[in-house]
Amino acid sequence: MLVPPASYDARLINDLFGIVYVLSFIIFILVEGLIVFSVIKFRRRRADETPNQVHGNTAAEIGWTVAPALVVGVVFGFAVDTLGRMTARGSPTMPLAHVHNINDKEALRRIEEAKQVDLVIEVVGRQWVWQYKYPGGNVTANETLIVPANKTIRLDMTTADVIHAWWMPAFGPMLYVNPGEVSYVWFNVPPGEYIGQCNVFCGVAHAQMISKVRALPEDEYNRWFQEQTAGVSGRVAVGDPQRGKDIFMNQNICWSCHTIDGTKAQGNVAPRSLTRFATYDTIAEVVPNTAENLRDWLHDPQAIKPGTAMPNLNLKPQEIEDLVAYLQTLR
Amino acid sequence: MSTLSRTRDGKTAGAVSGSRRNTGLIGAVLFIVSESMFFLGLFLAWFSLRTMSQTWPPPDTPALSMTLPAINTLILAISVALMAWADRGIAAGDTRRLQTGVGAAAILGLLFMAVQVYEFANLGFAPYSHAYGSAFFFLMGFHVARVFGGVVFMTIILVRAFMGQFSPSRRTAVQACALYWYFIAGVWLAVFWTLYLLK
Amino acid sequence: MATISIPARTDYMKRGIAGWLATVDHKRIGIMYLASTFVFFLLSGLMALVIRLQLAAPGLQIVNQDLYNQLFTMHGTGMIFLFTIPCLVGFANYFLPLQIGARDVAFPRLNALSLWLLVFAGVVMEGGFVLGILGLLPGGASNAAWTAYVPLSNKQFSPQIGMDIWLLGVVLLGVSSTLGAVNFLVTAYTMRAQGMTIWRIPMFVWAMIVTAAMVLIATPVLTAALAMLIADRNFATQFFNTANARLWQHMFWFYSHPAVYIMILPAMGIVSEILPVFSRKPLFGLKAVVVSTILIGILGFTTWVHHMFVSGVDPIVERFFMLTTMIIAVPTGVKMFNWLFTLWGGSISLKTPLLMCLGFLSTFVIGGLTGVIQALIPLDMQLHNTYWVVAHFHYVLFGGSVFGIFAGFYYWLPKITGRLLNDTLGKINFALMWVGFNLTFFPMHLLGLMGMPRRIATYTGDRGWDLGNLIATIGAFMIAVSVLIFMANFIQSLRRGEPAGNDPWEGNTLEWTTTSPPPEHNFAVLPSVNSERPVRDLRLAAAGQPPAASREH
Repeated sequence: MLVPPASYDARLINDLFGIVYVLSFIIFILVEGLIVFSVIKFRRRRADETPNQVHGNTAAEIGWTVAPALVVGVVFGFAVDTLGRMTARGSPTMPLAHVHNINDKEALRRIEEAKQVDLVIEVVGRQWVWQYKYPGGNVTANETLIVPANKTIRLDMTTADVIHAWWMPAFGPMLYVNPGEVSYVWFNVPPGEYIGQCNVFCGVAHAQMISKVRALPEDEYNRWFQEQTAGVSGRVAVGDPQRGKDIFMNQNICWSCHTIDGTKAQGNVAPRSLTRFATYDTIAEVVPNTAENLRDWLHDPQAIKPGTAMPNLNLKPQEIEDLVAYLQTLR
Repeated sequence: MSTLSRTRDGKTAGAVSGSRRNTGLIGAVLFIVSESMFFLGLFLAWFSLRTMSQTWPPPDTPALSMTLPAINTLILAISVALMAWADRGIAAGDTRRLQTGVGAAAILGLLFMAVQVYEFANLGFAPYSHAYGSAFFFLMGFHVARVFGGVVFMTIILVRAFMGQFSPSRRTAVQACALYWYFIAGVWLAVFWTLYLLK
Repeated sequence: MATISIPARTDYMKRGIAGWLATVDHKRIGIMYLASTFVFFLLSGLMALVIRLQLAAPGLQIVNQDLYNQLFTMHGTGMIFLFTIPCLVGFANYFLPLQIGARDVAFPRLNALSLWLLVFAGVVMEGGFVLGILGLLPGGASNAAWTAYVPLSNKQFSPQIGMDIWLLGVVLLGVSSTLGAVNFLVTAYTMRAQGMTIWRIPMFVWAMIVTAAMVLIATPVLTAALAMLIADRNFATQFFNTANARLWQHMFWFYSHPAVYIMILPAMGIVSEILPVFSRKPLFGLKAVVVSTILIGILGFTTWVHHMFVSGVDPIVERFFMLTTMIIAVPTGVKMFNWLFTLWGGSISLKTPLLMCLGFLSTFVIGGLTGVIQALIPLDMQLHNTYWVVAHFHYVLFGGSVFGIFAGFYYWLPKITGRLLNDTLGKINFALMWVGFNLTFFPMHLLGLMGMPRRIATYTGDRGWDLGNLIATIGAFMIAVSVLIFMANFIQSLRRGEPAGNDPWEGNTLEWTTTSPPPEHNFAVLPSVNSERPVRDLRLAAAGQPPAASREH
């Protein structure tokens, strides 16, 4: 794998890939070598030459039936062994990865037993954003999932619409998130920034369904979490356009669907460009473009215009203030 | 018509074992294989939906009455017997028996369809009510469509029989029709067992 | 030796349009199959070029995302259902009766029906796409990928009528190929020439027998699934309404994995025909090749769940399918080694048909090996739906099937047109296509290992995917140029190509005993078959040599 493995599972997968890769490479060289050698050695030199009419060789047939079968057997053994080691650690694979019924208490109990988990985060995939909900329900995040490093994290993943797959190449395995089911993924990774994206084609803006993980040292993570909790219950400061722009372009994923000329936001999901948003008469062509309406819209777009492609991003009040301030500068 | 005679020529000239007469019958068998796979797909859907559901059929679904499908089973059984009797008849050169048997079997096929349509109207649920209804109507509906196809086939056989086109050595179409009718009856048994008898 | 006198004239080829439309002649139907599928090949190829342009560099917007999604949906559908499968059926239409010494297929009118169903479905599907681009079809064509996974393909998430057109098109194509399969099986079973016993059946015919059997068993299951989805979308049935995502996947892959073998086995048959001719040796281990073809056909039905290793299938079931998938490598390996040892010790003539076969062998081996790698559940969990997969199946379906098809073109077109293709142009065609192919698809392995998912309309510049994508785009245009060279070669061969004669290659099978193109009734004299290489026996007898050791197998 060309993505450095960050988790135990990814390392197991990487090791298995190494073994199989070497075996494949040997067979590859053998076959290509035979082709090149035959073509050079046995090319036709005289128009009338008649080679020896060999029809076959039973021993050879048995040989090249048994040899690949043995290789297949050995590789199968390696694969089962890898699976066993992943399962023993209760990692994102069998037998607990998919629980077909959200209310299956027994399955949930088995999951708890299988693995001592430090943190459980609820993940909802929807067209075309991942949303993360931390324990307690007050802290949420989009696009970037912030977790403590070197702790075992479990994601409980559901989908609000079509099939999605949450996948970090550096963490190894991926799983489909099917409608009406919960999929579970475990990981324990060192500090760092990781990037991945939805891996099941999920509609128009599938390419924008990017997810990032930022694994912070424990104390930094705790500090961040405190701030988030405070942000929810605390006072909301006056909006800051600069912070708003940072949310739009970096912290959140607004940029992936919207277009603002001269910035990295070049998405084409949203019907109208936001380049001169402050001059528009309406928001989403339904309500007048006032700061109050914009707050409501950002808080819950579906309530203003049911069926709109804009998802509820679970923005915090402070974020909404900052975004409103930023959007009103766009003239 | 040169096309037709050419192909006829071609068949005799190329045939290995003089089995030209069998081509139609082998074709019919292969067609039935593909038909079976189609129904296998529908049965797969039925059983897969059934295992996925908490309750099957869904609560509040009116209980199925066994009377009509039982009558229909009887109807199909008699028509299969008539079909076999007709097929044997033409094998022995009895065109009259062929006409009577196929004609009666076709009428029974129509009767089967009528009973089925009556049942559809009185089930108390529809294809769009729930997954159970969808799968139920699909299995029954595609089977009835095959019954209709069989009746059309039998009508053609009947017309050709009255035109005197069949003889003991020339009855591939009759055999193919009979085979298809047996197949339809077989599928009915599987449908009946799955939808009505299996708890 | 059965002798039937028929006029040897070939002017039946020249009758007007009406003659073509009304024909039930297997050769003319074969030609129309090949011509129409080649048009679909060009269309799907153009779509691939637009796709490659869009991905040539990060953040490009050659087409919008929705159109991009339609493009890859129609590219995949077109290449699979409208080109690879029916193009090989086209070869079978023309050559299966000739190879077994028959005068036509068993059901000529059914054969014509298969053709016109294919053409109709193709025109409707591609036409829907074009109408969508012109803005005449609201919502455009299907954009839910060729897999059309529910719930993405249901009414709620794909409300456009283009999706229904697509579904109906696939149903019609299924009917068309089922009818064709019945026809080929009956023809091969009942209409073989005198003396063509089981081990003397040509390899391409063997391949078509197994393929047709697979079509017959697999296609109706897909048809059932399509009927369910169509009903869900239009009549509010509830097959795939919520928690049934895996039901569609099972039914879809029950057809669509065997479909891979439906696309590769006939190409393997073509390779098994050409290698012995151009090495002047019998096919090494003929029985083993036949048995492995049959085994691949059977095992092909036991592997479909390997497409669903991350869909949440029961773990025990997954392990079973991992094993069966890996086992397919064994008969495939047997074929590979038999081909290699057909070349070994031969007198190898490096004409274009053989070069295309070498292209098949050298690239298909990569597709086979990457297939085994992906069959391992732990590796699949990392590689699933990445560009690695795209690389893998293009190595199988382009490196395998398409090289096989082009080998078939260079080998058999002289029989169809009576004119040889230019061998130098052919070699340039091969070289460009082989290099272009590897440039396009090899980097995709690496992109997949870097974590690039398939079916994304764009990507950002910070992921390290730029170079690989740029190389792939350059390679794609090389392939396009090679196809243009092929077309130029074909046109010049029609105008002033060297006359092919009955047997330009010193062929082995019966199609080479008759004229090029064959007369309306195929054979003036039906040769008797005393070995698996009857035409070689005739050649040797004519040269005054004793008939070849007609070794009984």
